[in-house]
Amino acid sequence: MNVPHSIAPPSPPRNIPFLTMSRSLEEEGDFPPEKPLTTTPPSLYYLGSQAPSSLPSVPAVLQNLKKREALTVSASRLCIVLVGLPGRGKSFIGRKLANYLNWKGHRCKVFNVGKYRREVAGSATADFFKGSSASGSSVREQVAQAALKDMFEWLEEPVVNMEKEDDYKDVMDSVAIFDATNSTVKRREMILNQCASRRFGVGVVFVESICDQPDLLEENFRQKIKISPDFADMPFEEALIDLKARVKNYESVYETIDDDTCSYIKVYNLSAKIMANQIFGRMSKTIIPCLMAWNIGSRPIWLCRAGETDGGVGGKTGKGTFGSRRTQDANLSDRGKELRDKLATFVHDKARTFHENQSYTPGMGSEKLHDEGEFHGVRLGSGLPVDTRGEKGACKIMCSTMPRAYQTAALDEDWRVEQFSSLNPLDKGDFTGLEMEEIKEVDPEWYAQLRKDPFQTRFPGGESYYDLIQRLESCLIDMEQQVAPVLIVSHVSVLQCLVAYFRGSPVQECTSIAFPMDTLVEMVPVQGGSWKENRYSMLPRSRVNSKEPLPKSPKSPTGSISEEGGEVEEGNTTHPIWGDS
Amino acid sequence: MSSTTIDHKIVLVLVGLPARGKSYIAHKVLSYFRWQGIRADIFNVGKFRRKIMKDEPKQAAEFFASDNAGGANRREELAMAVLDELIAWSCADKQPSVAIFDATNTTNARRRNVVDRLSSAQLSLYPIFVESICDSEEVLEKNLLQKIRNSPDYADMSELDALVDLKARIKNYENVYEPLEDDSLSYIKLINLRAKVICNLVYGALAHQIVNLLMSTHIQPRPIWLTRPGTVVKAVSPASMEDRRGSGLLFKVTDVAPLDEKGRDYAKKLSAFIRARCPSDVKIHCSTLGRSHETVKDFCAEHDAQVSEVVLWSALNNLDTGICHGMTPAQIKESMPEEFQDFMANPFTYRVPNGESYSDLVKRLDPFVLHMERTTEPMLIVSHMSVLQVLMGYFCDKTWNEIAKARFPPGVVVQLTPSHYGWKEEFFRLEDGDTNGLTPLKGGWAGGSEGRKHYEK
Repeated sequence: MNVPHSIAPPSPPRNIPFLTMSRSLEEEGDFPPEKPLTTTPPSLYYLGSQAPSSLPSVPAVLQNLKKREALTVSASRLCIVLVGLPGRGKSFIGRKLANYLNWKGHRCKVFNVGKYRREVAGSATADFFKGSSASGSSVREQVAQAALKDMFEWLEEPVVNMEKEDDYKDVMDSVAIFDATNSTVKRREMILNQCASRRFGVGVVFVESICDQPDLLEENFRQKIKISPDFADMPFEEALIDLKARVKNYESVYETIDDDTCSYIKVYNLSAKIMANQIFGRMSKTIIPCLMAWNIGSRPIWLCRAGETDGGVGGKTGKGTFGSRRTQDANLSDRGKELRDKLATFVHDKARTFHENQSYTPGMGSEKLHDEGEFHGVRLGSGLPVDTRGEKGACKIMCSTMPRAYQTAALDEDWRVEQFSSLNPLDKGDFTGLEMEEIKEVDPEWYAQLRKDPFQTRFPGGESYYDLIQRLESCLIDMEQQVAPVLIVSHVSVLQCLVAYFRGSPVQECTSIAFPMDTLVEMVPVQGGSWKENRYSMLPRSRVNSKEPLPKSPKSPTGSISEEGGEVEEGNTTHPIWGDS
Repeated sequence: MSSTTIDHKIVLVLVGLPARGKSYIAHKVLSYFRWQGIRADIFNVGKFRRKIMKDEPKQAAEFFASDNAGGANRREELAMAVLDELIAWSCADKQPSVAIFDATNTTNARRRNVVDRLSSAQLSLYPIFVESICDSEEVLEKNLLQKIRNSPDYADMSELDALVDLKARIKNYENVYEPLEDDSLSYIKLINLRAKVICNLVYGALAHQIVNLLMSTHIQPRPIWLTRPGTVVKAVSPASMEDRRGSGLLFKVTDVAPLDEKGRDYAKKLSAFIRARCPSDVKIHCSTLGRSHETVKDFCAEHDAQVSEVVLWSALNNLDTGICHGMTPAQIKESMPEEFQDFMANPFTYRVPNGESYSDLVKRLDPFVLHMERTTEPMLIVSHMSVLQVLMGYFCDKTWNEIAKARFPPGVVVQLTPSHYGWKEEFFRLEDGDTNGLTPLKGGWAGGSEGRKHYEK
């Protein structure tokens, strides 16, 4: 970074080292005088000087900071404008982003101009998209305007004020994703101007998807034809020709973004290369890690609850309280161990099959590795080869720091198990170890609040589901960036949040997602950026088979879900499941 | 298999003309990964050159001239010697590591040499180039002056002579400078204070962390204040509490207790302290424990207009002590002597059954630290001992051992401001009778702030 590092100033230093740029100097008087800095002795060169940076007085820097400030402020209403030729994965990015931001508790919606066009003009052939086609271009202009209008209306809707305003300011950030080719400078300037002229400032970030690998492109085209309504009743070959002609029409007028004064992110070949320009705001910042993590690989992600325990350290606590802190350090019961063994077989099989068939991801700068004709792994970019020779392929295993989770996840000596405390169950704070009924007695007011809003109500001194989402973010990105299968062993509350993400269901309702014990939920990426869910029952549900009877758990939602949670969460209970503690 | 995952061993190869902030980047990355408990080190060619050639006369600009064949060979030799040292260091174990190769590396030929040499290493090393580009004259001028004042090369030269010499030296580099353009290499390009960032073929969790870090750091001066919440009412008398205890369960009794008189007093002082130092917006972050929020309530109420944001983060909650929750150290020692002993022996990695270790805490706080780096406004953070220890560990470059053993006393505000290669900490005790509330503490954190100890070799 080209930093105007603090240097020993010739005159006494300014006394307001940290005011934002816009503050006037009159306010300086309140600040305690600072000692003038002395020149850092040479020996400190490698150690790093301890002198604080002074306010940079370089105009170029000032300008940058001003711009930065402006961009940061506007972050509460943001418009992400997708740019790119057809078949470059714009909608993939749009959908993934919308899902992710919604999950994080932002308000996010995709405005797809193609959808508007289809409503006005029906499915259109390549001629419609010719630069010279007058009727085509006027219709296209019209639908773009209509979409923009709707978008602004949506952005400016008064957001329902949350009751606890202080805590949920984040929730009110609105992000609109404008999904169209937006391939000309003129069109993009139009959008910029419109955004600038709104009553509330709307920040604009362009996300351009560029793809120049023929094989990846071909694959994208094929996928697009399969899912796009434009080609629903066209034979495949004909559709391919039509689509290519359409792309050609766009290509003739395509102008890539090269205006360095606006914020943009360019994604080359779906995240092999990323260029970010003037990306400072908090929101914009969230996007980059995602864009870098997402890939179109087909690795499955397995979610599973930690196995059943033997009920705690000899019932030291007196009452056999399921869910008290005492029981949490318990070891796996026989049934839990059985689950682990089943899990190991399952994961081994699946991982091996996966690596044999599908570990190659086109367009990620990756290549298949062969050794004397035999496939043995994948090389990613210029990185290291991932060797998949031998019986087992790679598998990323993540679990919470609870002993039962670790014991369940330790499938194989060769697979490193990574423990993350962010996968630990919801922290119930002061109510740790209490059953819901006891809480109801202790604090009926709070309990009523919880019933009303299970997502945002925070356990005193603990967490709410909303907090949980925030702490899961980094783990989730870690899962997304994997190209090998991933196994997550965690607890109900965490898994509910994760399932809500993979399903793309409203995160506020994640508290009613059923996640039974001894069940493995498999999430497989499908075309277009979403996930398909499969459920596998690892052990027979009936407990008669288990050798030892379970310690009786008091009546609680915990018991109810582990026993009655079905394959699909139809007929959801409306109350939250506080199953794991 | 597990030893060959992609993100295991990273070699960060810095690229850029002198005075482009390469060493700044190097130090940021170094302290970040050290804090995470990942082996990291900087291999600085300039330092090595000065060590090796210390008996020879000082190298003036001619040494760096591109047409000075002897000098060029010598420089290449030195660089490769340092690189060999780096490779040996990286291959010393199979744990993840980040080695930083700090040299100008301005030519394609040099970079190819580096890649070739790395690929012949015993273990697979993953090279990522980080190029820093700056085309603002003014910024450069400042950086040059800074470099002259600090660099041992110019210790006994007048400033003007030094500037002429340094500029000539840079000119020599510029003549042969070839920006990174080879898209088959993994690289991160930072242009003008990271106004523009380009990442090419950067994969893996560790590498993404580097990108996140580099995109988060900026040099806008702003203070960050860290403090513990006010003290709380100790005795919790309500019968309901007794009942709950009777059931044999353990509680975080203090989590819900209100501030006592002293605590409320502290909240007032804190409010005045912040107000006096910063009339602008303050981002306030506190844990979800009642006393933290209560401590900042005063400030919010009095200066509503100034407060732009109060956010409760559960990431700032104190270390989860699992089954020992709510117990005093004495109680733990009595009822679980083994656990207590293990904890004392290795406080950083020992995980209380069912709870967290300090290293878990580091993982938990990682996104928050990046958030702190990213924020441009002044920040106030109200959190608890264990969390503050870990945060201070990052900002003051403490080793893991120091982190767990340091005390962060109540009633003290730590002010952090960005400094040359990291952060500078100042301590203030908010004392009675001093309305300005400013008494800088001597000694600093953990009994004496020696500065960045682990940069010394």
